[in-house]
Amino acid sequence: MVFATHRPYCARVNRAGLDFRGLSGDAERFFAGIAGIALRERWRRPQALAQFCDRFLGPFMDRLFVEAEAACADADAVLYWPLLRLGPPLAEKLGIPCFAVAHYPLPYQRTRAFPNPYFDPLRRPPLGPISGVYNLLTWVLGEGVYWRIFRRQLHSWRRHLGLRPLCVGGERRQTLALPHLLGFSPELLSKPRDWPASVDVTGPWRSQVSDAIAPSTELCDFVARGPAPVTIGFGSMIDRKPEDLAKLASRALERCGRRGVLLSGWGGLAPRSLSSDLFQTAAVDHDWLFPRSAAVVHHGGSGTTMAALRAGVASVIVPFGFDQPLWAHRMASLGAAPPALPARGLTVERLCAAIDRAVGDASFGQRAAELGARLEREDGIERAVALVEGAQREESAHAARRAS
Amino acid sequence: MKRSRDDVWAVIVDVLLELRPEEGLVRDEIHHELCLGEGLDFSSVDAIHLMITLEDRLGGRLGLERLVLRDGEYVGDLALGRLHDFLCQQLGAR
Repeated sequence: MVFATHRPYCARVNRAGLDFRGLSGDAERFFAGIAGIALRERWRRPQALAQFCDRFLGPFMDRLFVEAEAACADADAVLYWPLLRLGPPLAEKLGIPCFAVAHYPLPYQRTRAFPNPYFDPLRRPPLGPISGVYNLLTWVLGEGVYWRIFRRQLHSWRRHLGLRPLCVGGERRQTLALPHLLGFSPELLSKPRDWPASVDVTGPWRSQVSDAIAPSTELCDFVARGPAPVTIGFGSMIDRKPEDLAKLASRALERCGRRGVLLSGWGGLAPRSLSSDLFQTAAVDHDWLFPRSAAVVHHGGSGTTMAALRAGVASVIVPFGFDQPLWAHRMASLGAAPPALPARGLTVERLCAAIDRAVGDASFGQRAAELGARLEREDGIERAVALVEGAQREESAHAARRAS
Repeated sequence: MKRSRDDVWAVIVDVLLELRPEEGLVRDEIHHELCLGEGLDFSSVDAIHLMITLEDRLGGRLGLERLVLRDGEYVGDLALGRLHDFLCQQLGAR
């Protein structure tokens, strides 16, 4: 098993016992800076997003594709992250199976079951009989962006691989025919009935090798010396003014009279001064901190959302963009979180009210605990491995039949 | 109102200081001969941050990618003086 990713992840991949192949770039630094903000801000403006990717990321893609080609030269199968779209041409060239893998529904996976979180113009979808039509429309309208991004680079890369050019429709058909492994819990979002059989919601993928950061002695002491704190962290989501967001978070905690732990993460959520009821740390093992928290305020990434469920703790979700509005909506529908508070328009009063509600109403935590217990029984890795191995056996049998 | 060349240089310096807070870079050390690669130890991600921030501050699309990126890599030997000249030209700064 070879894992090809950005070089800063080399040690982590090696710790998991996998062979590492380096790709250029650094996703963490990209998303932790102005580029990550700029990308997110353009996400709902198709033209601007396509231009942004073309101008600033496109020039790096050719090199990334060539590096990926070298990394996969002796592969029996390719598992790839679909937002980069490098898997299908590579697998086509090498004549090997290809699997799309992600932790969230992808921008081209149309459904009537829920609106496209990446492109939902109304943000409050209509209810009743037209909701399905509305939902489907958000996917149809939104997915054009996906196919436009890196289009030029894909053309030149297919040419480099000696493959014939593909129109958008051809690429779409090729991609949709691939097996898709989605690593989130069906308890959180079950597979919609209108998704094809090639899509499998496997359950969450939890690494067997923990690289979580152990809590410091100071954090252990802080947590132990009073009522359970409210944890606030927005992962890799950064704001143009992170210090203002940090100030807002600490004032909200102050207003509702609660202790808090601020996880500054990539987003630099670090206030200039801290009261004795507030502890700030860059990152810590969620599986340690969340069960010791009264509630967790987070951005609604699928991993953090599932960690909050496993911990049996209520969430307050502040979605910044991408797939996050979907998880925020699902958590509220499942009764494990109050309604989402979009990052744009967040105020001290709203955050304070949501925290009060999440902590004060025990049903949110209870519901999270029920769902979390079911999540613990899911083994997404086992299921994903079985699907990959099954497809490979099928491919080998197919190849043997062709040869005879 | 058109910016002067000094205004544009001031923006470049401010942006570099902002992008490199942990490097201990000081205003007086930033000069026209300093290069992105050898002088400032930029990575490709830094180059993207630089282009986006400069466009944010100076307003509009300045085509910086034509100057800063080449063959899937940023131009490491790009001196700040050249970057300054390019921006002044794009903005019509005198």
